[in-house]
Amino acid sequence: MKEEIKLAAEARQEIGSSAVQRLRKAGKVPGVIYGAGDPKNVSFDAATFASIQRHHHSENVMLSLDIDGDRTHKVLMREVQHHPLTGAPIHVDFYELSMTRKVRVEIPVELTGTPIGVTRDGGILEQLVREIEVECLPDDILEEIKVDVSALEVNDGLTVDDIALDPAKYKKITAGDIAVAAVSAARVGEEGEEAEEAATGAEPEVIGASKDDEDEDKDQE
Amino acid sequence: MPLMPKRVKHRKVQRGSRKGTASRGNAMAFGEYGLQSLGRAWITNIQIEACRVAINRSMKRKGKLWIRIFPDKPYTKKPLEVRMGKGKGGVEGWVAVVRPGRMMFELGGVPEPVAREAMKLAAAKLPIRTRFVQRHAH
Repeated sequence: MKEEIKLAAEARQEIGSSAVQRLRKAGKVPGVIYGAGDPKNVSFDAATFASIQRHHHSENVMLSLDIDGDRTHKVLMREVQHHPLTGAPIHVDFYELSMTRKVRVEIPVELTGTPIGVTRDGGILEQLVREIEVECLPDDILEEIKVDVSALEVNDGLTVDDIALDPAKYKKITAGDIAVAAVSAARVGEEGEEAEEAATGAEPEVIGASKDDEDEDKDQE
Repeated sequence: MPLMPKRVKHRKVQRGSRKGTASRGNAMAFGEYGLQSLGRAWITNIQIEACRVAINRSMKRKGKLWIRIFPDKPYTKKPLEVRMGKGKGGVEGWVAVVRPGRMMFELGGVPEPVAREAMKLAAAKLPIRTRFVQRHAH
């Protein structure tokens, strides 16, 4: 991680859903800092936070959180909750960092290039894992890991072990045999799938019901 | 075979509530592009099947489709010209309860214009407003 971004925040006394709802209406986002000492409730400007998010693909961004101009906390965004429809941030968890202590972070995996199996043989590239968990020092946190998939042929795949990371700096927590990307053959001869099977009158089995009960119910209808 | 559960705990259920927004299943989990609901409705298994067929035909059976909703709720109807009372009607079909924000379909392995067109055709089969979404481009 190269850059460090400043975000001004203020200590928050308001807790509970209606109090934080008022904060959100006033253009602020509630958050919490934890990781070192007691957790602290904070709030900060929604527009500034949105601008930070716009400029960063990943949420693995180290921030200098300045609380009331009093003390600066080096933090990492651990979880950002978004509104399901508007996408606006609802709440942010910040994890306070110690620059000498290793942390576990989930780093997004971005696939680059188009596999041979897709361009030549018409296969389908599937990304099976979007983030891998690694342990590293805060200064070494990557915003994303780029993985070149252009050499993959049909039925080839890449696993976590195939991702090259400096072992001196990064320890992979995600199991090495987990597939990250795979090229599968294009689907052929599945036209029959579209034909509707005539299975009218089929009814699901009722758990724990005896045959007589079911017949009785049907008679009532 | 239309989508429906294999086993159920109760043959008929009450209508339940559809209020609020989708608290789960509202984010992209599998594919690159998605169709997100902006309204609330009971989506029937027939509508889901119509969407699936429309998407697969539009993509010419390329790419991969994930259906993120499942019709696990039976709905009942009384026969025509029957007086009220005498018990609940028979099971008429199966529905999925969809609230605003629900990611209903996801697509992967196709270019954006193809996905957009496929989702447009699927959206036309649904009784609610929807929007096309994609993983954040950078």
